[in-house]
Amino acid sequence: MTRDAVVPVLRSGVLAQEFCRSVARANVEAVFERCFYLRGGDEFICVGGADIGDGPLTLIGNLGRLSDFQLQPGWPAAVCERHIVIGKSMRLTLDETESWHSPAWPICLSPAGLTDTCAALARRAAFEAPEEGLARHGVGVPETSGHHPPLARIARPRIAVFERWLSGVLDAGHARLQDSKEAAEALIGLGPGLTPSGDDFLVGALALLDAIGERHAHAALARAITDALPGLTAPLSACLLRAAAAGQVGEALHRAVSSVITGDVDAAAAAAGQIGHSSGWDMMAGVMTALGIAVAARLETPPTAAQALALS
Amino acid sequence: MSVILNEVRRATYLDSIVLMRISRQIAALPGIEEAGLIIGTPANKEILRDAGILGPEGATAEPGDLILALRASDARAGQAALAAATQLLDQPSALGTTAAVESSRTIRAAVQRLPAANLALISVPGDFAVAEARKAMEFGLHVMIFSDNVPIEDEAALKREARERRLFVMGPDCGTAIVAGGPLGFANVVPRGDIGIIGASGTGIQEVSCLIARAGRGISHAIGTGGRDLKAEVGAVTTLMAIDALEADDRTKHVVLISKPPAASVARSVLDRVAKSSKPFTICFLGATDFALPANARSAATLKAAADSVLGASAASPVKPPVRRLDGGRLVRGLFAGGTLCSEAQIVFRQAGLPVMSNVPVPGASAMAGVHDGHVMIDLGDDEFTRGRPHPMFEPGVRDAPLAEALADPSVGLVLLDVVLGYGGHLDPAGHLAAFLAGRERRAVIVASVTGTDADPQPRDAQVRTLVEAGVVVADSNAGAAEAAIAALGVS
Amino acid sequence: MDEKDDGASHDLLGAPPRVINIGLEIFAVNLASQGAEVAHVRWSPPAGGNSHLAGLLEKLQGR
Repeated sequence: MTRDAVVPVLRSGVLAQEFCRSVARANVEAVFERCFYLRGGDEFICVGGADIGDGPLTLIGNLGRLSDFQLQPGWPAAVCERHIVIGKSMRLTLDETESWHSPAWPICLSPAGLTDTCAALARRAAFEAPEEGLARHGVGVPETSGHHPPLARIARPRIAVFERWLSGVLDAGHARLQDSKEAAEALIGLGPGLTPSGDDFLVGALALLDAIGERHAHAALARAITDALPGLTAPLSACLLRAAAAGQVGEALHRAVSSVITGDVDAAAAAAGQIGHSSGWDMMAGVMTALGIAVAARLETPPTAAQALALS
Repeated sequence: MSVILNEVRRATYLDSIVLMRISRQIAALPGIEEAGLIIGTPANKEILRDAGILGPEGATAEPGDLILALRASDARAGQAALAAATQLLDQPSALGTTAAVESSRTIRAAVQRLPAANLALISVPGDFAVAEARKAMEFGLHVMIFSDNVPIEDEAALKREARERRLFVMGPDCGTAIVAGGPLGFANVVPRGDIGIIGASGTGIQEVSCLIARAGRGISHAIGTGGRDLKAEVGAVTTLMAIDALEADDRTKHVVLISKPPAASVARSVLDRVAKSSKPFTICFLGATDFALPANARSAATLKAAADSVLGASAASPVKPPVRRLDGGRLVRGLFAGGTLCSEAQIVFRQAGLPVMSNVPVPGASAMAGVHDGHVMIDLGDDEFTRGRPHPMFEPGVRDAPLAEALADPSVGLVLLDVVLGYGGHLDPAGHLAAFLAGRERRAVIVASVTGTDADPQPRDAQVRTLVEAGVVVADSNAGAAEAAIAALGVS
Repeated sequence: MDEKDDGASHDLLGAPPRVINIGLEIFAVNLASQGAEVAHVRWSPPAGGNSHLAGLLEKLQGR
């Protein structure tokens, strides 16, 4: 067992840095095989080795075998900008850390190209997405086709509410906060897992709207989510949703969405498969849903100047 | 009358995949009609309400909590499921699910990701297993087929094709193999050593390898052949290849061959091949000893005898745990999860000259009639018990009803059980049995064996302790348990 | 039968197996948890699978 090990943090996400600046006392909230979470108030950060991938709330350090530290949930952590001391066994130092934030989005395909990508991705989802999640049964599959698990049955009408809302926002260029909140509330906290499928869906939708430059819709959804969040989902998932609302998503989702909007379906599916057990594909359900609505809107209406710029 | 039970746990952080697995295991327990395991967000409480399984306790859950909600056919089944869930949630590592496995849609994609792959482990429904095996062989992979229900002529054709390609087909219906220290399918954690096993039976390989391990020796390789390899239609293709492979393997110093009694022509070709080997063999054709053996081979009628033979134990009869003489009921009822263990118990009874009945009778035993008016050994893994239900190695609850019946039968004085541990098996079969027996009136003596090692995911020592605390007599081997039963009858 | 002294045996027994797991995921998870090299194939029945097959699959999966 390693005791009192000093672990230099190699990279730190922008929101994780903010955590270190603003939080003084934290606790170990959860310990997994390859990473652990610290919680200070309502905020969380994730600490792990390079294999977990960068993210806005993530500190990457060379931890070796995490189990050697024998971290336990509940252990106290003293936090400052320079280092984090956890229990008696670990000291994370941030002296030489490199800052990480989501890179800029690539230039996206034409609406016609996006339509093809949407269709190809839906076909992939029907086979590759986990049976339990939203991507396989929640979107892209006709309502009438066969058996759907309970989550998909309940999620479908809620996704339909979200679709109508997004379609309206893209048409009108603005949204009533109350409508936006209803669309978000229907999905927040819905489904199994540490981050409920509905939360993952919204994170994916936020990332896609940001990536294709739908700034009004992104801002309206972000505002609605942050307003609606308290009490609707698990604290950790809420924290990840707030990050996405602030325009910050993890490396793997960024790669997935970048691949979608540049038409690389294989890379998108691969990236989705790398995130959690079903979270990645649940995020893709949000990406595909939002993309489908956005493409339809763009095909119907000539792009505005701002959208034309985003579309280049 | 159905009951709804909810339990709320505060701030439980488990991987989504672990939660999903636990919820599946709970849903599969006997008497459970519906089950959900999700965090207590308002949206999720609506899902549970919609499914009719949200109780007052679940309704109070917070978004950070985990709700376990279920509907059971009666309160006892519900409480048992809650207890099982609690245990799984407390020890999720026992599920062995923390390791992340990357997955693909096709064999081709999987091979691209793991170019060093050399073996495909196939557990799709039997109707599709041969097609998947052929695809895997196209990529130069050896094949282990866990699936059963493969037509025998397909098995024979597949094995011949594989031999052309110099590839192994282990199976179909191959539950266990250990290749170069790597356990495949249902297998126990045994040390590496110099004893090679070729087995047509998964539990047979497990029992012999565990007896060897517990005696301080180790296994070089255990090659599963599938239950029908020594049938005339198949002609021992895999067994003969396995003999060649172990002959060429420097690590292997002694080979144990385990099978049901083979067809005479097949036995001849196998024993001819054994005769050409430079290594000593122990041949365990369960129950059959009346065949001519080459000079380098000894025969063993039971799994225990095979282990003793290879360990050099001098035909010692198994150490029998003390069991009181039966004073009430005079009949023995064996309820087995392992088919080969059921056969072995019958053989021990036949060797003692006792009549015995079974749903899978060995030579000399009789087929089970409707009325159990003699010593009966039941293989609970047989189709009639598993139809629409999981195999008792996955789900020990399959044994509950027959066990309750045996304990309620005044003519039954002793119940024989097997508890099989290892990868792939249930996480706590002894705990299930102990919970089942707790507070239940019983006159019959219960004698069990525990196939496993202390290094298994369910350490054997802890499983044995649980059984002993529940008042179960634990024997050192399956044959030992049967011997103890015979001793209790006062006829040995 | 000409497989004597050929390469098949060496290549199966020479090193711990590197496994392509097709079907029950639990086997892949077990292998990975022991440090074995394993890639899992998410198998599903060819389109239009019938209830008999679904029943078999469920039995295999212990559901």
